[in-house]
Amino acid sequence: MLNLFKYVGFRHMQWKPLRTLLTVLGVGLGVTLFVAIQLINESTLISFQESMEAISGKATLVVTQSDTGFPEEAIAIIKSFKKEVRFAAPMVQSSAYFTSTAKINESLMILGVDMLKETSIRSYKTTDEEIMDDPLIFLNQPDSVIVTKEFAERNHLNIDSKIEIATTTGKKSLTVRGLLTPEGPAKAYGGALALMDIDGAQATFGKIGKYDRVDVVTRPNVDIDLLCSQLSEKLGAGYRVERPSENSLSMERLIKSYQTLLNFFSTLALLVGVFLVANTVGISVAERRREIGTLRALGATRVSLLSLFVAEAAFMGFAGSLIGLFLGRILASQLIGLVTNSMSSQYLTLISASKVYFPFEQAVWGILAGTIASVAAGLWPAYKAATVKPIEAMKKFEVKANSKNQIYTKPFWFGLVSLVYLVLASVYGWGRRSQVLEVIAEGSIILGSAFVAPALVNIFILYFKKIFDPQNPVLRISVDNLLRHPRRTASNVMALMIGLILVIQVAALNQSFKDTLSTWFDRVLKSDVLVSSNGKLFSFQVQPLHESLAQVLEKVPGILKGPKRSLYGVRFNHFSYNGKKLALKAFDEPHPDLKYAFLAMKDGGRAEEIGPKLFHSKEPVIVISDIFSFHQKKKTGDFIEIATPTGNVNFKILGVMFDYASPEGIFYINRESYKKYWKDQLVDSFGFNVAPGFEIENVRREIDARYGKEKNLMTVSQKELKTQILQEIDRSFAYTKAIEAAALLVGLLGLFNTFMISVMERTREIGMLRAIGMERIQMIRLILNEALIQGGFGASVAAILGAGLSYIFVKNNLTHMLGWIVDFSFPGSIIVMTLLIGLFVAALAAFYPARKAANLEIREALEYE
Amino acid sequence: MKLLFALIFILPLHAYSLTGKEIMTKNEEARRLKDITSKAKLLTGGGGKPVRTKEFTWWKKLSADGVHFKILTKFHAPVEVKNEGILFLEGEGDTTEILIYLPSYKKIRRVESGQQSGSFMGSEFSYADVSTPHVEDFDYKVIKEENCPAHATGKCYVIEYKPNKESVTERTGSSGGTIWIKQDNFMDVQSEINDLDGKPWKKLEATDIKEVDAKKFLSHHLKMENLKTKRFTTFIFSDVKTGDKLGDVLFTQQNLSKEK
Repeated sequence: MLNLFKYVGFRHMQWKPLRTLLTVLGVGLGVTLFVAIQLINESTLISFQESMEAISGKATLVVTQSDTGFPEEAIAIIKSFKKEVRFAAPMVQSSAYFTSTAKINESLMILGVDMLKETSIRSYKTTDEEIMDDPLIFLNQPDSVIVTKEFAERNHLNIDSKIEIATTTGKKSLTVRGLLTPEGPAKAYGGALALMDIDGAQATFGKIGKYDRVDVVTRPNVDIDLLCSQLSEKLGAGYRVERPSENSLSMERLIKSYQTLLNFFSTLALLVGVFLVANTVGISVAERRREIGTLRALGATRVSLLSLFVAEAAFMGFAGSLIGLFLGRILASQLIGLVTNSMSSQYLTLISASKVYFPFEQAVWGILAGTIASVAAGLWPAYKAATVKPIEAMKKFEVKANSKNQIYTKPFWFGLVSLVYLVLASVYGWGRRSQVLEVIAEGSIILGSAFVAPALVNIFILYFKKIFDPQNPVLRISVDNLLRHPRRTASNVMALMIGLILVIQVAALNQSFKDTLSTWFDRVLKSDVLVSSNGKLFSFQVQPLHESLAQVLEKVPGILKGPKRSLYGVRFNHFSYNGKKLALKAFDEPHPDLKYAFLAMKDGGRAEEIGPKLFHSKEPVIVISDIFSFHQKKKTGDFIEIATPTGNVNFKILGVMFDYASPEGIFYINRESYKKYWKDQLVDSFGFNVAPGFEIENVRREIDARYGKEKNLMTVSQKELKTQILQEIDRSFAYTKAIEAAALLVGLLGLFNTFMISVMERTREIGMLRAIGMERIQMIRLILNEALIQGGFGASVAAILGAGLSYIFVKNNLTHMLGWIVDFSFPGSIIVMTLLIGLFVAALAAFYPARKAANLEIREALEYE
Repeated sequence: MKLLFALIFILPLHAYSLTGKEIMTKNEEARRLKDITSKAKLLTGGGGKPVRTKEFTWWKKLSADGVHFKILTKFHAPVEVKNEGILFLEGEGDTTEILIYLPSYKKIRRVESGQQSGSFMGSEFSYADVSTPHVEDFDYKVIKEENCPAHATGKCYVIEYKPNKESVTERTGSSGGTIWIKQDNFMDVQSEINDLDGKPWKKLEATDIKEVDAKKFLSHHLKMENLKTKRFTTFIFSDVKTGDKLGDVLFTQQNLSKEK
């Protein structure tokens, strides 16, 4: 078998170097994306886990509660377990956002720790340098901060440098009084981490008298599980006492679910690349029929012939995988920042990866994935080659005339069955029940599209001819040519179509998110202006403000006076429910004119009916998001017990609304209840409406002039906020451009490959046409016409299939994959662009083959066999 | 016969009149001042960094057990640390309590024992260096007698010491070291301190040793050099008073948080 590959297969590849190279590149691109996404996923997860482990240090248990923190007194309860607890170190955690004057374009995770207890839990000193330049000054000065050397270098900071951040009471200048080497906790969050002493951090972030977590180091031989339950019982409702690894599980789950989407796209990209192998091997089999016949006549067995073609596929897959590994590593380092930013903004949590991990197993897996998939792709054409009868293969190849039967071939029916399976699997969630069924469903997208689409293209061309009956002779010959060779036509556009389907799927997902949020925003956001600290309000990446600021802002002329207040605070927070990280929005009762528009109700009643109940009910009430209702099977009228910082509270569900701030679920509560149960007086933003006779922009300018700089406030109009959100969605999808580009490039390579073969196959026909008087320019037009017809119709079919598959994906798979429930939007503009891309790519791919065809010598062409 | 010869003539050459523990007990005795008040300066520099000076008042009192001390430090300068105070309440083993008063927050904070091996207020002294080392915490071995180091005069015992409890190792952050004890007054004039891996870490030189009470001595000038970073800290005492009896009330949290 090896000899057969060495003397026949390998030589054939050498004889067709361009085709082999293009195929290898196609697989390489697919593997590039596959490997890049795998590396990004692996690195993000490892970095996140390392960050969490580094932050936990030597702690064996971590005590937390809600995002608002818990009373300092809890540490006394923890320490009362003297026999079990060796050390207990408190911590305050907060994201710090820099003021516009700071000129630092990144946020910082600040850990407020007790520097006098820290070494019991975490070790920062990895060199002989002291991390604090002067502990006596550091501890006594509330503005002291220690940053990582990495962060300091990035932002040109030194000891004694000042950095200005937003705090709950306005801006605050911090002084760098130490530098951390990138070891231990300093490696967390990609180095975007800073330490403050706990007293300073509590004052800065409005958490006086509160801790966010307590890290506990237990004594040797302590039964951790027993201590866990004892501490939980003693601390009371709302507290979570867990091992450090359990503490970050809910976030890890979210990251993994996000990565499922990435895996889905990368697998599709790999399949697009691998499809090229199937195409190439298929063409190779077709053009080597006589050679196959000769080999069979000379005694080559079916198995050895099958092995020959499989080996060719394996070789191309392996070579492509090697290229893919190399390029994938580079691409991963380029994309990892975009992906982690996208995750951070989706989950409103800082997720970063400082480096790309490239473990050996990942390299092996990348090569195996590319090679095995290529072998699988080459199996069918190889089987066809092996089963052909020698006498048949020795015959001259005859092109069958077109007929309807040639369009509705076995592969077409197979493709159709695949698509039907895909629809059923999505609707009934078969993929969620078994990994194998999930893989089959993913494969069905490619197989279904690949086998159904060519038939559709041929049908389109057939009807194009029937309806328009082109009279231009060159165009007519082009159309007739295409219809005479439906298989060739089909194979030409397959790779491009699959690439375009992927582009449409990504675009549809993006568009669906944008339209859903845009519609929701128009419905709920009725305040003219929102005020917050400087930052990204659309993703709540702002420093919360104290509620008392409302009284200061009220004095600005032009703000519409309300019956109780003129500015309406909103507090956004997270809390834990059944091991999930849910979001909570607490609202002040808005101005009556707004008619509780912020409640985009789905169930339970209209906003005007639910609003008064939410703000004036005597019992604890909430409104839940449809995402929560869907995942947790809760409905209007049900009760739900929530562990709040003041104990367990049984809330009645007033209704179900739409909100997209968290894929796990969101609760709405009135802010009076929130303050009562969560003991938190901070708000993330204030909304207000402008009184008649005043201009919105003038009122904003006035706030900016009075308090903008002094209190580090910013104002944002309704329209601006909406624009920012839509831009953020685009940013979140930025990395998908690489997936789209790779898919299109593979499509282009495939098209070029098949056009080249197509010209070669038709050498005699071309010679004939030239001999009967066709000019060179007409020959170029002929080939280009064919390419444009194939590209145009290929893109149209891709648009139809892509939109259909996207609809199924958005409606059925997205919610289970990421948690979001969004409405499907037809990506109209992308479809138009897809058609144009299809035409452009087809013309581009056909240009060289067309010139080659035009330049063929007539005599040589007629002699070609 | 050879063995007997060795026992009679060679062994005495290596046997000292006092054991390491006896010498160190005398050292502790020589340092054991009942009540002491002093002005002090802490100068830290070297390693390419400018010299920083801190000024403070220092009170030290022997506890009722006659072994452990109570030490109160109140800072006056620079302005960023004014009114900051540190209270050492020495105890058995790892029960030494160190409290810091931070005037910016009007708050007293406790230094965990694990942290006591760390730097004493940015100096090259650790909290453990500043509190009094006790004989019982270490094992000793006299390795030789020789002339004292250049900055001191006379003969010295050279003693190797090692912590005898893990808690002491943890508190001091050291695996032991070598100490030079002057034979005439039993005061330590030099120490070489090893890190936890047994490698040279810090070197302490004590000079300006004065008898401040009957057979009680105090080094007025202590220089600690970090051999790894080349940074140093000098501890200078002045206006030393030993006659005044200090009340226990001075060494309380209430007094620690009193600001002038």
